[in-house]
Amino acid sequence: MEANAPVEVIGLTKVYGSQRVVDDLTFSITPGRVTGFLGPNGAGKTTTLRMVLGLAAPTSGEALVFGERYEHLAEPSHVVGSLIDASAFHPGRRARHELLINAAAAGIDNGRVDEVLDEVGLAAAADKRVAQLSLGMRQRLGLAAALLGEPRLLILDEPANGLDPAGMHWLRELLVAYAARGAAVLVSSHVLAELALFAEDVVVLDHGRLVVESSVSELIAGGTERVVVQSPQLAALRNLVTRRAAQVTATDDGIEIVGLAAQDIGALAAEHGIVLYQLRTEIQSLEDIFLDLTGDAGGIR
Amino acid sequence: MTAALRSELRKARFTRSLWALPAAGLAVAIIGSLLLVTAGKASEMPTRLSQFGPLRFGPTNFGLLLLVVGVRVFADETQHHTLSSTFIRTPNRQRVTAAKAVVAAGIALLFCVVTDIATIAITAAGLSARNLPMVYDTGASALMLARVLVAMVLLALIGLGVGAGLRNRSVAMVATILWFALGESLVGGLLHITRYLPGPAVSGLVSNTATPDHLAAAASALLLVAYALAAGATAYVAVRHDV
Repeated sequence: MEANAPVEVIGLTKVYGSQRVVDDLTFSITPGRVTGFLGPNGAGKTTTLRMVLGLAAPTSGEALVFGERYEHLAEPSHVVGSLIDASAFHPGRRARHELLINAAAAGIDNGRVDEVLDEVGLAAAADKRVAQLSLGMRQRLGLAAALLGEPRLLILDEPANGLDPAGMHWLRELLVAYAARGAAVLVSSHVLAELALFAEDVVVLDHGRLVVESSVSELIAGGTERVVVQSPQLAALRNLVTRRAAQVTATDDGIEIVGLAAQDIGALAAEHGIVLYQLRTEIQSLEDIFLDLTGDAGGIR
Repeated sequence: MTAALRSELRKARFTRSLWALPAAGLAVAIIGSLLLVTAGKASEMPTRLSQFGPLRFGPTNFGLLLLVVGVRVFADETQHHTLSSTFIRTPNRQRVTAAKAVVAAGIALLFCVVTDIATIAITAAGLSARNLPMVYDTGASALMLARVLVAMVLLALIGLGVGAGLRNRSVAMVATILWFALGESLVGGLLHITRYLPGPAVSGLVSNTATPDHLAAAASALLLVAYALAAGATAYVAVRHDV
Protein backbone atom coordinates (compact mmCIF):
# COMPACT_ATOMS: atom_id res chain seq x y z
CA MET A 1 0.00 0.00 0.00
CA GLU A 2 1.44 3.34 -1.05
CA ALA A 3 1.51 5.97 1.66
CA ASN A 4 1.52 8.79 -0.88
CA ALA A 5 -0.83 9.38 -3.78
CA PRO A 6 0.62 8.50 -7.20
CA VAL A 7 0.01 12.10 -8.23
CA GLU A 8 -0.73 14.89 -5.78
CA VAL A 9 -1.07 18.42 -7.05
CA ILE A 10 -1.25 21.15 -4.43
CA GLY A 11 -2.11 24.75 -5.28
CA LEU A 12 -0.35 24.39 -8.61
CA THR A 13 -0.16 27.58 -10.63
CA LYS A 14 1.57 28.41 -13.89
CA VAL A 15 1.66 31.89 -15.31
CA TYR A 16 3.02 32.69 -18.76
CA GLY A 17 3.27 36.45 -19.14
CA SER A 18 -0.15 37.77 -18.21
CA GLN A 19 -1.87 34.45 -18.78
CA ARG A 20 -2.71 32.18 -15.86
CA VAL A 21 -2.63 28.82 -17.60
CA VAL A 22 -3.01 26.76 -14.44
CA ASP A 23 -4.64 28.43 -11.49
CA ASP A 24 -4.32 27.14 -7.92
CA LEU A 25 -5.03 23.57 -8.95
CA THR A 26 -5.32 20.88 -6.29
CA PHE A 27 -6.18 17.23 -6.86
CA SER A 28 -4.82 13.73 -6.36
CA ILE A 29 -5.31 10.36 -7.98
CA THR A 30 -5.68 6.86 -6.59
CA PRO A 31 -3.66 3.69 -7.28
CA GLY A 32 -5.41 0.90 -9.13
CA ARG A 33 -7.77 3.23 -10.95
CA VAL A 34 -7.92 5.03 -14.28
CA THR A 35 -8.39 8.75 -13.79
CA GLY A 36 -9.58 10.86 -16.68
CA PHE A 37 -8.05 14.32 -16.82
CA LEU A 38 -10.64 16.30 -18.71
CA GLY A 39 -11.03 19.79 -19.99
CA PRO A 40 -11.61 21.73 -23.18
CA ASN A 41 -8.65 22.59 -25.40
CA GLY A 42 -6.50 25.14 -23.63
CA ALA A 43 -7.83 24.25 -20.18
CA GLY A 44 -4.28 23.70 -18.89
CA LYS A 45 -4.18 19.89 -18.92
CA THR A 46 -0.90 19.48 -20.79
CA THR A 47 0.78 22.26 -18.82
CA THR A 48 -0.26 20.54 -15.59
CA LEU A 49 1.10 17.19 -16.77
CA ARG A 50 4.37 18.86 -17.85
CA MET A 51 4.73 20.32 -14.36
CA VAL A 52 4.03 16.92 -12.80
CA LEU A 53 6.80 15.45 -14.98
CA GLY A 54 9.29 18.19 -14.14
CA LEU A 55 9.37 19.63 -17.65
CA ALA A 56 7.98 22.99 -16.59
CA ALA A 57 8.54 24.75 -13.29
CA PRO A 58 5.40 25.81 -11.39
CA THR A 59 5.00 29.50 -10.72
CA SER A 60 3.70 28.42 -7.31
CA GLY A 61 2.41 25.28 -5.64
CA GLU A 62 3.81 21.83 -6.19
CA ALA A 63 3.21 18.60 -8.02
CA LEU A 64 4.30 15.40 -6.31
CA VAL A 65 4.69 11.87 -7.60
CA PHE A 66 4.42 9.32 -4.79
CA GLY A 67 5.24 12.15 -2.41
CA GLU A 68 8.32 13.45 -4.25
CA ARG A 69 8.99 15.99 -6.94
CA TYR A 70 9.56 14.16 -10.21
CA GLU A 71 13.15 15.33 -10.56
CA HIS A 72 13.95 13.84 -7.16
CA LEU A 73 12.83 10.33 -8.10
CA ALA A 74 15.79 7.95 -8.05
CA GLU A 75 14.63 5.80 -10.97
CA PRO A 76 11.89 7.83 -12.66
CA SER A 77 11.29 5.43 -15.55
CA HIS A 78 10.48 2.62 -13.10
CA VAL A 79 8.02 4.85 -11.27
CA VAL A 80 6.33 6.84 -14.02
CA GLY A 81 5.70 6.00 -17.65
CA SER A 82 4.55 8.93 -19.71
CA LEU A 83 3.37 9.86 -23.15
CA ILE A 84 3.28 13.60 -23.66
CA ASP A 85 3.74 14.05 -27.40
CA ALA A 86 3.36 11.18 -29.85
CA SER A 87 5.22 13.09 -32.55
CA ALA A 88 8.27 13.44 -30.30
CA PHE A 89 10.47 10.92 -32.08
CA HIS A 90 13.29 11.44 -34.52
CA PRO A 91 11.72 10.69 -37.90
CA GLY A 92 14.90 9.11 -39.27
CA ARG A 93 15.31 6.55 -36.51
CA ARG A 94 13.74 3.10 -36.42
CA ALA A 95 11.00 2.37 -33.90
CA ARG A 96 13.17 -0.21 -32.14
CA HIS A 97 16.07 2.26 -31.98
CA GLU A 98 13.90 4.87 -30.28
CA LEU A 99 13.05 2.36 -27.59
CA LEU A 100 16.67 1.24 -27.25
CA ILE A 101 17.63 4.89 -26.66
CA ASN A 102 14.95 5.18 -23.97
CA ALA A 103 15.95 1.85 -22.45
CA ALA A 104 19.58 2.93 -22.21
CA ALA A 105 18.66 6.18 -20.45
CA ALA A 106 16.57 4.26 -17.93
CA GLY A 107 19.08 1.46 -17.42
CA ILE A 108 16.58 -1.07 -18.79
CA ASP A 109 17.69 -4.28 -20.44
CA ASN A 110 17.47 -4.36 -24.28
CA GLY A 111 15.31 -7.49 -24.12
CA ARG A 112 12.48 -5.45 -22.61
CA VAL A 113 12.27 -3.47 -25.87
CA ASP A 114 10.98 -6.48 -27.79
CA GLU A 115 8.52 -7.25 -25.01
CA VAL A 116 6.90 -3.82 -25.13
CA LEU A 117 6.90 -3.79 -28.92
CA ASP A 118 4.87 -7.00 -28.72
CA GLU A 119 2.67 -5.59 -25.99
CA VAL A 120 1.62 -2.61 -28.10
CA GLY A 121 1.32 -4.57 -31.33
CA LEU A 122 4.27 -2.94 -33.06
CA ALA A 123 6.59 -5.94 -33.38
CA ALA A 124 6.08 -6.12 -37.14
CA ALA A 125 6.89 -2.42 -37.56
CA ALA A 126 9.86 -2.40 -35.17
CA ASP A 127 12.39 -1.81 -37.93
CA LYS A 128 10.41 0.87 -39.72
CA ARG A 129 11.62 4.41 -39.48
CA VAL A 130 9.41 6.70 -37.41
CA ALA A 131 8.63 8.81 -40.49
CA GLN A 132 7.01 5.72 -42.03
CA LEU A 133 4.69 5.16 -39.06
CA SER A 134 1.13 6.45 -38.97
CA LEU A 135 0.07 8.71 -36.10
CA GLY A 136 -1.67 5.75 -34.52
CA MET A 137 1.49 3.66 -34.72
CA ARG A 138 3.49 6.51 -33.22
CA GLN A 139 1.00 6.63 -30.35
CA ARG A 140 1.63 2.93 -29.83
CA LEU A 141 5.37 3.57 -29.94
CA GLY A 142 4.94 6.29 -27.32
CA LEU A 143 2.96 3.88 -25.17
CA ALA A 144 5.68 1.27 -25.61
CA ALA A 145 8.22 3.80 -24.35
CA ALA A 146 5.97 4.59 -21.39
CA LEU A 147 5.65 0.90 -20.50
CA LEU A 148 9.38 0.15 -20.76
CA GLY A 149 10.15 0.52 -17.07
CA GLU A 150 6.97 -1.30 -15.90
CA PRO A 151 6.06 1.82 -13.93
CA ARG A 152 3.57 2.14 -11.07
CA LEU A 153 2.04 5.21 -12.66
CA LEU A 154 1.13 6.01 -16.26
CA ILE A 155 0.62 9.61 -17.34
CA LEU A 156 -0.73 9.85 -20.86
CA ASP A 157 -1.65 13.04 -22.67
CA GLU A 158 -4.31 12.44 -25.31
CA PRO A 159 -3.12 8.89 -26.03
CA ALA A 160 -6.07 8.09 -28.29
CA ASN A 161 -5.19 10.72 -30.89
CA GLY A 162 -4.80 9.04 -34.25
CA LEU A 163 -6.03 5.65 -33.10
CA ASP A 164 -8.74 3.94 -35.13
CA PRO A 165 -11.75 2.40 -33.32
CA ALA A 166 -9.94 -0.91 -32.93
CA GLY A 167 -6.90 0.94 -31.60
CA MET A 168 -9.05 2.82 -29.11
CA HIS A 169 -10.61 -0.42 -27.94
CA TRP A 170 -7.14 -1.90 -27.54
CA LEU A 171 -6.00 1.18 -25.59
CA ARG A 172 -8.97 0.95 -23.22
CA GLU A 173 -8.30 -2.72 -22.55
CA LEU A 174 -4.61 -2.05 -22.00
CA LEU A 175 -5.14 0.79 -19.54
CA VAL A 176 -7.90 -0.92 -17.60
CA ALA A 177 -5.76 -4.07 -17.31
CA TYR A 178 -2.77 -1.98 -16.26
CA ALA A 179 -4.77 -0.27 -13.53
CA ALA A 180 -6.18 -3.61 -12.42
CA ARG A 181 -2.60 -4.68 -11.62
CA GLY A 182 -2.50 -1.90 -9.04
CA ALA A 183 -0.95 0.90 -11.05
CA ALA A 184 -2.42 4.37 -11.30
CA VAL A 185 -3.32 5.68 -14.75
CA LEU A 186 -3.88 9.37 -15.45
CA VAL A 187 -5.18 9.99 -18.96
CA SER A 188 -5.93 13.41 -20.33
CA SER A 189 -8.40 14.01 -23.09
CA HIS A 190 -10.78 16.58 -24.44
CA VAL A 191 -12.86 13.78 -25.94
CA LEU A 192 -15.18 12.87 -23.12
CA ALA A 193 -16.83 9.97 -24.91
CA GLU A 194 -13.63 7.93 -25.06
CA LEU A 195 -12.80 8.45 -21.38
CA ALA A 196 -16.36 7.82 -20.22
CA LEU A 197 -15.96 4.23 -21.39
CA PHE A 198 -13.17 3.29 -19.02
CA ALA A 199 -12.18 6.05 -16.58
CA GLU A 200 -13.30 5.41 -13.02
CA ASP A 201 -12.43 8.85 -11.68
CA VAL A 202 -12.36 12.23 -13.35
CA VAL A 203 -10.58 15.48 -12.72
CA VAL A 204 -12.18 18.23 -14.78
CA LEU A 205 -10.35 21.44 -15.56
CA ASP A 206 -11.53 24.64 -17.15
CA HIS A 207 -9.46 27.77 -17.69
CA GLY A 208 -6.75 26.28 -15.54
CA ARG A 209 -9.01 25.77 -12.55
CA LEU A 210 -10.37 22.61 -10.99
CA VAL A 211 -14.05 22.25 -11.81
CA VAL A 212 -14.69 18.85 -10.30
CA GLU A 213 -12.79 15.90 -8.86
CA SER A 214 -14.99 12.88 -8.49
CA SER A 215 -15.63 9.28 -9.43
CA VAL A 216 -17.51 8.90 -12.69
CA SER A 217 -20.37 7.09 -10.96
CA GLU A 218 -20.79 9.88 -8.42
CA LEU A 219 -20.70 12.46 -11.17
CA ILE A 220 -23.41 10.72 -13.12
CA ALA A 221 -25.48 10.16 -9.97
CA GLY A 222 -25.28 13.87 -9.27
CA GLY A 223 -26.43 14.73 -12.77
CA THR A 224 -29.83 16.25 -13.40
CA GLU A 225 -32.89 14.19 -14.34
CA ARG A 226 -35.23 15.83 -16.81
CA VAL A 227 -38.75 14.79 -17.66
CA VAL A 228 -39.76 15.33 -21.27
CA VAL A 229 -43.45 15.95 -21.79
CA GLN A 230 -45.60 16.33 -24.88
CA SER A 231 -49.20 17.38 -24.42
CA PRO A 232 -51.91 19.41 -26.19
CA GLN A 233 -52.38 21.27 -22.89
CA LEU A 234 -48.83 22.39 -22.22
CA ALA A 235 -49.74 25.81 -20.80
CA ALA A 236 -51.95 24.27 -18.12
CA LEU A 237 -49.37 21.67 -17.23
CA ARG A 238 -46.63 24.31 -17.11
CA ASN A 239 -48.69 26.32 -14.59
CA LEU A 240 -49.23 23.29 -12.40
CA VAL A 241 -45.62 22.16 -12.21
CA THR A 242 -44.25 25.68 -11.81
CA ARG A 243 -46.38 26.08 -8.71
CA ARG A 244 -44.56 23.03 -7.31
CA ALA A 245 -41.20 24.75 -7.75
CA ALA A 246 -40.17 22.72 -10.79
CA GLN A 247 -38.17 24.35 -13.58
CA VAL A 248 -39.72 24.26 -17.01
CA THR A 249 -37.99 24.74 -20.35
CA ALA A 250 -39.83 24.84 -23.66
CA THR A 251 -38.53 22.59 -26.44
CA ASP A 252 -39.56 22.33 -30.10
CA ASP A 253 -42.36 19.90 -29.45
CA GLY A 254 -43.02 20.02 -25.72
CA ILE A 255 -41.46 20.98 -22.41
CA GLU A 256 -38.68 19.67 -20.19
CA ILE A 257 -39.28 19.64 -16.47
CA VAL A 258 -36.58 19.53 -13.83
CA GLY A 259 -37.41 19.10 -10.15
CA LEU A 260 -40.37 16.76 -10.36
CA ALA A 261 -40.34 13.02 -10.98
CA ALA A 262 -42.20 11.58 -13.97
CA GLN A 263 -44.69 9.75 -11.78
CA ASP A 264 -45.55 12.97 -9.93
CA ILE A 265 -46.07 14.81 -13.20
CA GLY A 266 -48.23 11.95 -14.51
CA ALA A 267 -50.34 11.97 -11.36
CA LEU A 268 -50.70 15.73 -11.49
CA ALA A 269 -51.79 15.62 -15.12
CA ALA A 270 -54.33 12.86 -14.41
CA GLU A 271 -55.69 14.74 -11.42
CA HIS A 272 -56.35 17.82 -13.61
CA GLY A 273 -57.52 15.94 -16.69
CA ILE A 274 -54.52 16.90 -18.79
CA VAL A 275 -53.83 14.65 -21.73
CA LEU A 276 -50.24 13.51 -22.16
CA TYR A 277 -48.76 12.25 -25.43
CA GLN A 278 -45.35 11.55 -24.01
CA LEU A 279 -43.84 11.38 -20.56
CA ARG A 280 -40.28 10.10 -20.23
CA THR A 281 -37.31 10.65 -17.97
CA GLU A 282 -33.94 11.60 -19.43
CA ILE A 283 -30.86 11.23 -17.27
CA GLN A 284 -28.23 13.84 -18.06
CA SER A 285 -25.37 12.23 -19.93
CA LEU A 286 -21.78 12.54 -18.75
CA GLU A 287 -21.14 14.73 -21.75
CA ASP A 288 -23.97 17.08 -20.77
CA ILE A 289 -22.62 17.19 -17.23
CA PHE A 290 -19.19 18.00 -18.60
CA LEU A 291 -20.59 20.76 -20.78
CA ASP A 292 -22.46 22.19 -17.83
CA LEU A 293 -19.32 22.09 -15.71
CA THR A 294 -17.01 23.71 -18.23
CA GLY A 295 -19.59 25.88 -19.93
CA ASP A 296 -17.65 25.50 -23.16
CA ALA A 297 -19.08 23.37 -25.91
CA GLY A 298 -16.55 24.60 -28.43
CA GLY A 299 -13.57 22.82 -27.01
CA ILE A 300 -14.88 19.31 -26.78
CA ARG A 301 -16.34 16.67 -28.97
CA MET B 1 25.90 9.56 -15.93
CA THR B 2 26.62 6.17 -17.54
CA ALA B 3 22.97 5.63 -18.51
CA ALA B 4 22.63 9.14 -19.95
CA LEU B 5 25.88 8.73 -21.87
CA ARG B 6 24.84 5.35 -23.23
CA SER B 7 21.55 6.83 -24.36
CA GLU B 8 23.24 9.80 -26.06
CA LEU B 9 25.70 7.48 -27.78
CA ARG B 10 22.80 5.43 -29.12
CA LYS B 11 21.12 8.59 -30.36
CA ALA B 12 24.24 9.47 -32.33
CA ARG B 13 24.66 5.91 -33.57
CA PHE B 14 21.06 5.59 -34.73
CA THR B 15 20.84 9.01 -36.41
CA ARG B 16 22.18 8.50 -39.93
CA SER B 17 21.92 12.12 -40.98
CA LEU B 18 24.29 13.17 -38.17
CA TRP B 19 27.05 11.19 -39.89
CA ALA B 20 26.39 12.57 -43.36
CA LEU B 21 28.48 15.71 -42.86
CA PRO B 22 31.51 13.95 -41.31
CA ALA B 23 31.30 11.29 -44.03
CA ALA B 24 31.25 13.97 -46.73
CA GLY B 25 34.18 15.69 -45.00
CA LEU B 26 36.14 12.46 -44.93
CA ALA B 27 35.45 11.91 -48.63
CA VAL B 28 36.63 15.43 -49.48
CA ALA B 29 39.77 14.98 -47.37
CA ILE B 30 40.60 11.69 -49.11
CA ILE B 31 40.03 13.17 -52.57
CA GLY B 32 42.14 16.20 -51.63
CA SER B 33 44.98 13.99 -50.46
CA LEU B 34 44.83 11.90 -53.61
CA LEU B 35 44.97 15.01 -55.80
CA LEU B 36 47.84 16.41 -53.75
CA VAL B 37 50.07 13.36 -54.10
CA THR B 38 49.20 12.54 -57.67
CA ALA B 39 48.91 15.95 -59.32
CA GLY B 40 51.05 18.14 -57.03
CA LYS B 41 54.50 19.25 -58.12
CA ALA B 42 57.36 17.44 -56.42
CA SER B 43 58.84 20.75 -55.36
CA GLU B 44 55.61 21.62 -53.54
CA MET B 45 55.54 18.44 -51.49
CA PRO B 46 56.38 18.88 -47.83
CA THR B 47 59.32 16.85 -46.69
CA ARG B 48 58.28 16.50 -43.08
CA LEU B 49 55.14 14.80 -41.83
CA SER B 50 54.44 17.58 -39.34
CA GLN B 51 54.27 20.06 -42.21
CA PHE B 52 51.67 18.12 -44.14
CA GLY B 53 48.55 20.01 -45.03
CA PRO B 54 46.40 16.89 -44.53
CA LEU B 55 47.48 16.72 -40.89
CA ARG B 56 45.88 20.08 -40.35
CA PHE B 57 42.83 19.32 -42.44
CA GLY B 58 40.44 20.20 -39.65
CA PRO B 59 41.11 23.87 -39.01
CA THR B 60 41.47 24.69 -42.65
CA ASN B 61 38.57 22.74 -44.07
CA PHE B 62 36.30 21.01 -41.64
CA GLY B 63 36.05 23.08 -38.46
CA LEU B 64 32.70 24.45 -39.51
CA LEU B 65 31.48 20.94 -40.15
CA LEU B 66 32.23 19.89 -36.57
CA LEU B 67 30.60 23.05 -35.24
CA VAL B 68 27.44 22.05 -37.08
CA VAL B 69 27.69 18.52 -35.67
CA GLY B 70 27.88 20.08 -32.19
CA VAL B 71 24.85 22.23 -32.93
CA ARG B 72 22.91 19.19 -34.12
CA VAL B 73 23.74 17.01 -31.13
CA PHE B 74 21.61 19.37 -29.08
CA ALA B 75 19.32 21.12 -31.53
CA ASP B 76 18.08 17.89 -33.15
CA GLU B 77 16.27 17.29 -29.88
CA THR B 78 14.44 20.60 -30.00
CA GLN B 79 13.78 20.18 -33.72
CA HIS B 80 12.02 16.84 -33.18
CA HIS B 81 10.53 17.67 -29.74
CA THR B 82 12.46 14.79 -28.17
CA LEU B 83 13.99 16.93 -25.44
CA SER B 84 10.90 16.33 -23.27
CA SER B 85 11.32 12.56 -23.31
CA THR B 86 15.07 12.95 -22.75
CA PHE B 87 14.48 15.06 -19.64
CA ILE B 88 11.71 12.76 -18.46
CA ARG B 89 14.11 9.80 -18.62
CA THR B 90 16.97 11.79 -17.12
CA PRO B 91 15.58 14.65 -15.04
CA ASN B 92 19.09 15.85 -14.20
CA ARG B 93 19.47 18.17 -17.16
CA GLN B 94 23.12 19.01 -16.50
CA ARG B 95 23.86 15.30 -16.70
CA VAL B 96 22.17 15.16 -20.10
CA THR B 97 24.14 18.19 -21.28
CA ALA B 98 27.40 16.66 -20.08
CA ALA B 99 26.59 13.41 -21.89
CA LYS B 100 25.85 15.35 -25.06
CA ALA B 101 29.16 17.20 -24.71
CA VAL B 102 31.01 13.89 -24.45
CA VAL B 103 29.25 12.62 -27.57
CA ALA B 104 29.94 15.80 -29.57
CA ALA B 105 33.58 15.70 -28.52
CA GLY B 106 33.75 11.99 -29.33
CA ILE B 107 32.41 12.52 -32.84
CA ALA B 108 34.97 15.28 -33.39
CA LEU B 109 37.78 13.05 -32.15
CA LEU B 110 36.64 10.09 -34.21
CA PHE B 111 36.35 12.22 -37.33
CA CYS B 112 39.81 13.74 -36.82
CA VAL B 113 41.52 10.43 -36.14
CA VAL B 114 39.89 8.57 -39.03
CA THR B 115 40.48 11.41 -41.46
CA ASP B 116 44.07 11.84 -40.31
CA ILE B 117 44.84 8.15 -40.65
CA ALA B 118 43.29 8.07 -44.13
CA THR B 119 44.92 11.24 -45.45
CA ILE B 120 48.35 10.53 -43.97
CA ALA B 121 48.31 6.97 -45.32
CA ILE B 122 47.32 8.18 -48.78
CA THR B 123 49.90 10.96 -48.75
CA ALA B 124 52.71 8.74 -47.48
CA ALA B 125 51.92 6.01 -50.01
CA GLY B 126 51.68 8.52 -52.84
CA LEU B 127 54.96 10.17 -51.97
CA SER B 128 56.65 6.83 -51.61
CA ALA B 129 55.38 5.80 -55.05
CA ARG B 130 56.87 8.97 -56.48
CA ASN B 131 60.17 8.29 -54.71
CA LEU B 132 59.86 11.50 -52.76
CA PRO B 133 61.63 11.28 -49.44
CA MET B 134 59.71 12.15 -46.28
CA VAL B 135 60.90 12.71 -42.76
CA TYR B 136 58.64 11.08 -40.19
CA ASP B 137 59.14 13.60 -37.40
CA THR B 138 56.70 11.80 -35.16
CA GLY B 139 57.14 14.02 -32.11
CA ALA B 140 56.31 17.22 -33.95
CA SER B 141 53.55 15.44 -35.85
CA ALA B 142 51.96 14.12 -32.68
CA LEU B 143 52.03 17.60 -31.16
CA MET B 144 50.37 19.04 -34.25
CA LEU B 145 47.77 16.28 -34.23
CA ALA B 146 47.05 16.98 -30.57
CA ARG B 147 46.50 20.65 -31.34
CA VAL B 148 44.17 19.76 -34.18
CA LEU B 149 42.21 17.40 -31.96
CA VAL B 150 41.89 20.01 -29.20
CA ALA B 151 40.75 22.64 -31.71
CA MET B 152 38.16 20.36 -33.27
CA VAL B 153 36.79 19.12 -29.95
CA LEU B 154 36.45 22.69 -28.69
CA LEU B 155 34.66 23.71 -31.89
CA ALA B 156 32.20 20.83 -31.48
CA LEU B 157 31.56 21.94 -27.88
CA ILE B 158 31.04 25.54 -28.97
CA GLY B 159 28.52 24.22 -31.51
CA LEU B 160 26.74 22.32 -28.74
CA GLY B 161 26.41 25.54 -26.73
CA VAL B 162 25.03 27.37 -29.77
CA GLY B 163 22.54 24.55 -30.38
CA ALA B 164 21.40 24.59 -26.75
CA GLY B 165 21.22 28.37 -26.56
CA LEU B 166 19.35 29.04 -29.79
CA ARG B 167 17.10 25.96 -29.44
CA ASN B 168 15.86 26.26 -33.03
CA ARG B 169 18.04 23.94 -35.14
CA SER B 170 17.62 25.77 -38.44
CA VAL B 171 18.37 29.15 -36.87
CA ALA B 172 21.36 27.70 -35.00
CA MET B 173 22.84 26.07 -38.11
CA VAL B 174 22.30 29.08 -40.36
CA ALA B 175 23.66 31.46 -37.72
CA THR B 176 26.76 29.28 -37.25
CA ILE B 177 27.47 28.99 -40.94
CA LEU B 178 26.85 32.68 -41.60
CA TRP B 179 29.06 33.69 -38.71
CA PHE B 180 32.03 31.68 -39.89
CA ALA B 181 31.48 32.36 -43.58
CA LEU B 182 30.80 36.06 -43.30
CA GLY B 183 30.13 37.46 -39.86
CA GLU B 184 33.53 36.77 -38.36
CA SER B 185 35.52 38.62 -41.00
CA LEU B 186 32.96 41.43 -41.10
CA VAL B 187 32.75 41.97 -37.34
CA GLY B 188 36.45 41.32 -36.85
CA GLY B 189 37.39 43.78 -39.56
CA LEU B 190 35.05 46.52 -38.39
CA LEU B 191 35.98 46.28 -34.73
CA HIS B 192 39.61 45.24 -35.29
CA ILE B 193 39.15 42.16 -33.12
CA THR B 194 39.65 39.47 -35.76
CA ARG B 195 42.45 37.64 -33.93
CA TYR B 196 40.26 37.27 -30.84
CA LEU B 197 37.42 35.53 -32.65
CA PRO B 198 36.93 31.73 -32.67
CA GLY B 199 37.98 31.05 -36.29
CA PRO B 200 41.36 32.82 -36.03
CA ALA B 201 41.82 31.22 -32.60
CA VAL B 202 41.64 27.82 -34.29
CA SER B 203 44.16 28.95 -36.92
CA GLY B 204 46.43 30.23 -34.16
CA LEU B 205 46.22 26.97 -32.23
CA VAL B 206 47.49 24.94 -35.18
CA SER B 207 50.16 27.45 -36.23
CA ASN B 208 53.66 27.67 -34.88
CA THR B 209 53.83 31.44 -34.77
CA ALA B 210 51.58 34.39 -34.09
CA THR B 211 50.61 36.62 -37.02
CA PRO B 212 48.59 39.84 -37.31
CA ASP B 213 45.60 37.60 -38.06
CA HIS B 214 45.82 35.33 -35.06
CA LEU B 215 47.43 34.94 -31.65
CA ALA B 216 50.16 32.44 -30.77
CA ALA B 217 49.20 28.80 -30.17
CA ALA B 218 48.97 28.92 -26.36
CA ALA B 219 46.96 32.15 -26.31
CA SER B 220 44.71 30.82 -29.06
CA ALA B 221 44.13 27.63 -27.08
CA LEU B 222 43.14 29.63 -24.00
CA LEU B 223 40.85 31.77 -26.10
CA LEU B 224 39.13 28.71 -27.58
CA VAL B 225 38.73 27.19 -24.12
CA ALA B 226 37.12 30.45 -23.00
CA TYR B 227 34.68 30.29 -25.92
CA ALA B 228 33.89 26.66 -25.09
CA LEU B 229 33.29 27.57 -21.44
CA ALA B 230 31.00 30.40 -22.51
CA ALA B 231 29.13 27.91 -24.70
CA GLY B 232 28.90 25.54 -21.74
CA ALA B 233 27.52 28.31 -19.54
CA THR B 234 24.96 29.12 -22.25
CA ALA B 235 23.89 25.48 -22.37
CA TYR B 236 23.73 25.35 -18.55
CA VAL B 237 21.34 28.29 -18.46
CA ALA B 238 19.35 27.19 -21.52
CA VAL B 239 18.51 23.71 -20.24
CA ARG B 240 17.02 25.13 -17.06
CA HIS B 241 14.11 26.62 -19.03
CA ASP B 242 10.76 24.89 -19.39
CA VAL B 243 10.52 22.44 -22.26
